[in-house]
Amino acid sequence: MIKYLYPDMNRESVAVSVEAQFVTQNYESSRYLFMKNSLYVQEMYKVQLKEKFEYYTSVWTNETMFSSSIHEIINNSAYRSIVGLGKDVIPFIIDELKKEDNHWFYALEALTGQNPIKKEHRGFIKLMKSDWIEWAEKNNKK
Amino acid sequence: MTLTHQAFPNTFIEPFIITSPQTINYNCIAWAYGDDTKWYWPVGNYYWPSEIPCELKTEYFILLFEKIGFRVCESSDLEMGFHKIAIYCDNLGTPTHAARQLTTGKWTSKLGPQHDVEHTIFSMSDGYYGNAGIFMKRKD
Repeated sequence: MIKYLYPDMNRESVAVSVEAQFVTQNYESSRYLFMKNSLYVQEMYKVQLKEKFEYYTSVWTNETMFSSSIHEIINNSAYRSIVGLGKDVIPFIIDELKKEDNHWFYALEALTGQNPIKKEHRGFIKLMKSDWIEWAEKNNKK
Repeated sequence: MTLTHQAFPNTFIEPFIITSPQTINYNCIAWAYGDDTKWYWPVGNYYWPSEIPCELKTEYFILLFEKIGFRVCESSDLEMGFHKIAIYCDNLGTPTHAARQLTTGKWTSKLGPQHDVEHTIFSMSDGYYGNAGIFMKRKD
């Protein structure tokens, strides 16, 4: 299911010019180089990630505010961008889910490779949410 | 309270009337089906009856409503002694939404994770959900 929904989820973003690509690659290299040793870089990375997460979340909720279609909701480009941010956004998603019910289930499944939703809970948003929050607590992802 | 929104251009002529608090607990398909406890959609984690193929095709949405006695009919007109539902589709014929007719001849819809609204076929036409492509009816 996840591969069907996100066939290109691992695709790298493409810079628009050679110069932009150079800057992007050097920024990423610097980040990885200093990430392990520098608390400052780690914090900066978290802050930037959170900002991106919040931006994409607001675009996603705005663009799908009337949608009943789960296909449409989880194939929204901002939702896919959130998944593209990688596993580091899992705690942000869990926090968001605790605050407000929303369709984070496929993003969590794509990012964790897990699906703790019980068959009898399918469609019951609050129970689906509880299954994921319980999973997060057991797996220290809160 | 009324609702007008650019996603539904005709609401600027005939506004929707909000009839419930906002909730994500159920969606339009559930609401048309008569269930306000679940989110119905033919995809793994959500509710969809096991005997109906879990694919996003109009024929399977028709099967869903046939399961509770509805049969495809030709018009949205109010008919005494019958309940009607409408299935909305986009330009490609993909199901997007469902609405249920009230005894007044107006329609009631759940707008995704938002409110229930009362509306006419016209006020919801040519908007976010496309158009009502299939009507079904069953005896009261």
